[in-house]
Amino acid sequence: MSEQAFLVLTALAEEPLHGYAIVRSVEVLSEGRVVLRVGTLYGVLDRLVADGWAERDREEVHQGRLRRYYRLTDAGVRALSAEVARLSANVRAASSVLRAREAR
Amino acid sequence: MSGGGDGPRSNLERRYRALLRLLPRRYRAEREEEMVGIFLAGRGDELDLEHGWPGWGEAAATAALAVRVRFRAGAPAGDGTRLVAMAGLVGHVVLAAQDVVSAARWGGGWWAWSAVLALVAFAGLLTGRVLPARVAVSVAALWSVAVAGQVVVAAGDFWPVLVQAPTWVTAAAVWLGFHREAPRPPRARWPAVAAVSAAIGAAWVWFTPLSPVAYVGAWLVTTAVVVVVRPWAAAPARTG
Repeated sequence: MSEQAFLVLTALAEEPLHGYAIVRSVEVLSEGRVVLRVGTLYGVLDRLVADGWAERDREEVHQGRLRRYYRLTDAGVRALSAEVARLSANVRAASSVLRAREAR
Repeated sequence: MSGGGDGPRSNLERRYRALLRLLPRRYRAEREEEMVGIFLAGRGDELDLEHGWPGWGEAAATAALAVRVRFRAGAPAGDGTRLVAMAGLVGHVVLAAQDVVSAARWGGGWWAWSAVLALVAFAGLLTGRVLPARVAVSVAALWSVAVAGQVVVAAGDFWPVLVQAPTWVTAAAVWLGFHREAPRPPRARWPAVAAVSAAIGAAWVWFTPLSPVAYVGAWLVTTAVVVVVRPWAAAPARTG
């Protein structure tokens, strides 16, 4: 799973979001490190929808502009949980190695 | 779909809609309005709306999305481009085999780097290692441009362009067809296509020295073997 897909899934895990809200949420979650371009966002969303990890929610018109919301599916929650477990295991392993190095 | 019925409200919106024309019509019908909404969400300044342009980053990301959508799995353009890329690489493997056999049989040297680049790209695509494949075809294409350019400038002769064109077409097809989300080519048939084509091509130059006819023959043999084996009929494996 790419970092971009991970961050989009994390953003959607909180609540259904429209495209611009996803971009803002990803920027906040990554502390400004990841700013999704629109083309990149839709590449990620297309992949998540094709994999069954996200789906369309509702549509709204805001100031004359269409906003389409996306939400996480149950499969998306499972995929995100599995990725979090994998990354956590990596972090634990790396932390353990660093602690051992500092103790030497 | 709502929001676009009254036409663009600013020059900037018109420019963003023009940028989105890179995407297929069907995709735009689904996504254009929401994408325009996101593009313009961060750009409300009157001066910007009148005189602003889409940034280079947004343009590049939209172009990359257009490549992924237009050349996706199942799309005729995507499947056709991947077929051209793989057949092109097989053709280069055949040419490399001809070089080696000709050097052994009739003497002279052969361009080892050319054979290595063709094999790296071919094996890379089969095993899902797209980056080495892209680098290999790019190096081959740049070298080929330099060789052709040198002859064209020195002799005013344009035949090298014809000879080198398959290298450029192959490189372009690899870049367009094998994007991040493209399906991997079926492993079962392409190695067989390459082995049979290379064997026939090599046998050709064992009996007759390298010549323009043998060069054309390499591509004819490759095309014939691809048509007979029909590698596109095998189920592809997904990357990633």
